[in-house]
Amino acid sequence: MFEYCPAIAEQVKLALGDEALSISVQERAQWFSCYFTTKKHLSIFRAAGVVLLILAFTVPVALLLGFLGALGKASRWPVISQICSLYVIMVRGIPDIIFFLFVPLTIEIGIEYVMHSFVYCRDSAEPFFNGINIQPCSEAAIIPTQFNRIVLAVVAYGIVFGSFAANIIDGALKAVPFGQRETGSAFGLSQRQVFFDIHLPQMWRYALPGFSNLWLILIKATPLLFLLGIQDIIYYADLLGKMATRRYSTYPHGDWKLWYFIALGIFYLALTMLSQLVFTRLERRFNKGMVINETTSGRV
Amino acid sequence: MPSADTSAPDPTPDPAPDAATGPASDAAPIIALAGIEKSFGSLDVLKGVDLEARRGDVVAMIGSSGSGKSTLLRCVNLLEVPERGEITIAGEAITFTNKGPARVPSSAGQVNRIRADLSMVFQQFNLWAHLSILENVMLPQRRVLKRDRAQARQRAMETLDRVGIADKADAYPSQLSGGQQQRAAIARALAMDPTALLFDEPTSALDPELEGEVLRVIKSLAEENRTMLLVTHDMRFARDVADKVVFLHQGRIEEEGTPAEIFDSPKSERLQQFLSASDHR
Amino acid sequence: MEMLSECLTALDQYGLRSFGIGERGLPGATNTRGGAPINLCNMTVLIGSGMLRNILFGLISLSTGFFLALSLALLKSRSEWYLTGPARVMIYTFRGTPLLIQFFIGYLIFASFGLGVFRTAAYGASVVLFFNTACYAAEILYGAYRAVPNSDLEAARAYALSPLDRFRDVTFPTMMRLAWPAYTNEAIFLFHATTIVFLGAGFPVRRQSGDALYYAQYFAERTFNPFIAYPIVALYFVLATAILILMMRTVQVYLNRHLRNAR
Repeated sequence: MFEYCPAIAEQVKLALGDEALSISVQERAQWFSCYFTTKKHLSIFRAAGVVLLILAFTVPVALLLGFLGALGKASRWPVISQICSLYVIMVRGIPDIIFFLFVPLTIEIGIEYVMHSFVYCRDSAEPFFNGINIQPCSEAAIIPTQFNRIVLAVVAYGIVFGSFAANIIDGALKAVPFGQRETGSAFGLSQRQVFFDIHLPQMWRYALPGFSNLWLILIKATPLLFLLGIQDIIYYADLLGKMATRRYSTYPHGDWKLWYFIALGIFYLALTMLSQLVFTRLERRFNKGMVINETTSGRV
Repeated sequence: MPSADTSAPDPTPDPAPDAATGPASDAAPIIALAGIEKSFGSLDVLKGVDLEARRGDVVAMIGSSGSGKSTLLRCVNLLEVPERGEITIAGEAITFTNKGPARVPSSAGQVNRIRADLSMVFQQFNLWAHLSILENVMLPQRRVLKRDRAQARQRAMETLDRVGIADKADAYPSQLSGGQQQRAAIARALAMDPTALLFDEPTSALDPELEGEVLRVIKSLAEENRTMLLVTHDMRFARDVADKVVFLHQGRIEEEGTPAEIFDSPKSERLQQFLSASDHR
Repeated sequence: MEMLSECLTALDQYGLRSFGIGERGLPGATNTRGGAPINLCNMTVLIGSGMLRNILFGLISLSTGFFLALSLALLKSRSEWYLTGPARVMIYTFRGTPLLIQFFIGYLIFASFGLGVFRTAAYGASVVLFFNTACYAAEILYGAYRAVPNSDLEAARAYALSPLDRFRDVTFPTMMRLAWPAYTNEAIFLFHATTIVFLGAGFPVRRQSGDALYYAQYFAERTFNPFIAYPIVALYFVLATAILILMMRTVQVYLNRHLRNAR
């Protein structure tokens, strides 16, 4: 917000109402400088920050689950092995959007169930499950706040992308030539030593192209946060782009939604470009003579 | 004694652990395999093999493909586990437990200990691609022998020098030629100060021009009175370097003896056929 | 037996509901057009009818998009900048931005044509999916095009085959064979992406005829119970994806029939 803003706002409003008055280029520039710095607008930048934050949290969760899944698949205990095998392939058969909708809901209901049965309505006659319906008592019901939604979104994204990651890690672990590992054993290294000193470091080279692709898919999956009720950049683009009349707003404008969404598109393109740059650098550093092909495509 | 070969990579001889004890005269063999049987599925690869190597012996194992010589070598350090037979390394017998039709070594600790004492050099070099040559030579020392970084590095540089590629210590395997890589693999094996060295067709994957440098190194190691088991296709080299030659055919030892006995006066017909077929190499 | 007759009525009432054919009121609807009470049968059937829409969307987009993809891939492989430029830009843009945003932009553009709300939705979604899959597939086909062994082409040239024949008999078949595994992946992802169309990308739904996920959400919201509706739609997708993979594999075997135990 600049000092000249209230004045310029008024001026432009008047000019819009009166055909005779025209607006100079300089005035236009000033108007835009004020328009883009209103509180409402700054919230779109904050939302972009929230998106990046969610990305930042999702990555470690996904990596952790990915490793657990891939390693669990090779476990000695059949129960763990089966569950992990399922986990590894689940996102291939089921659209991830279903998980994004299902997981937060499930966790919410889980918490509500615990609250209902053990904390608040323990003695009430109302059952939690009523045939096909679910009805928690009013104290147990969770109020969906932005924060809750964001946390649940991170969990959901983490689980889904963990599955993708497990896929990649599984493949990469298999891709390390057996001779490399066998030599480790031949020199007397224990299983654990072979894994951490030879298998794992070499796995990264094969996993990196897959992970770079996955990161791009993750970036392009963030708009779905909007569908989870989170006030992300799409929400604000929609809100701010809506036509604003002279009567109710300080900075009236037409339906600018299209421009806002194009701007969002550019934002994502920039993110994509930046990511690709970083990954090319990383790959060069890790690649001492290995060539791998990337075959997965994916979008959301 | 084998003639002195003083061409190119002939570095300072390594003070080998047994150099001081004189000619091989200890009675108990360092490596003793008895009655080894090994099958892969329905294919019987080894059908009852006995093998012995005393301290300082260089034993060359020859035979056609499929004769089981590599498998036999890999039984020594338990990369393959034979279904029957006894394996005794430096007086210590490997213990097995039965697991269904097959059996497994009882103690992983024992296996690792044995392997730390028997360094293997592979046909495909098997240097770890993500580490430099120096790191390759240091890794097993640090992890298995628990040497600290300075110790491991010093020993590594010694062995790299011994095989003549000390200047390539910081290079990565993919940057070296085949011969250099194999020599690095030998350095890695030496740095563990093993009781015996196992060579699995060390020059088979090399171009002819590069074989020489590796063979020279192996020969100089033999001259130091090291215990070595060597699987090879190279008859001339076997004759040159070995104290004892073992000829395997279809999973059994057909004949064994000194190089002179085996190459100049082969007794069995199969050995004669084999030698004439593999002729001037 | 009662179950069976229940399910048959449900099939009759809602089997094609996603196309607007059948019982007007959805199960459990509380307004004047209220339909049958919600039960497992009509849930499964209604969601299943929604699946038909997903499948249709996917099939149409994939098949029409293929031709654009091929054109784009070939354009990208030329040396003239005015041919490669637009192709590259288009491919990069559609691959670099999220699908949801593409839907929004597409819808806004179509809305400005003034076709009426529902037509806008249908056309907008189809067009966006068309371009989207075309660009992803173009990238795959381009990679495959570059991977065609030069030796094969050299032989074709040596035998004086015309450029058209070279393409038809050598380049194209090899391209398809090489691209097929990645293309299978793309088909799966496209199919999964069809669920986003009705999810509130501003696409209004006419007479509540949506896709599988749309109905699953409807039921989950009505009953406050996601544990039945969502697994149903998930299972449908697992099944459909499995069938899709099977079909693609059959084609793959056919494409590779001349290779014995291809490494």
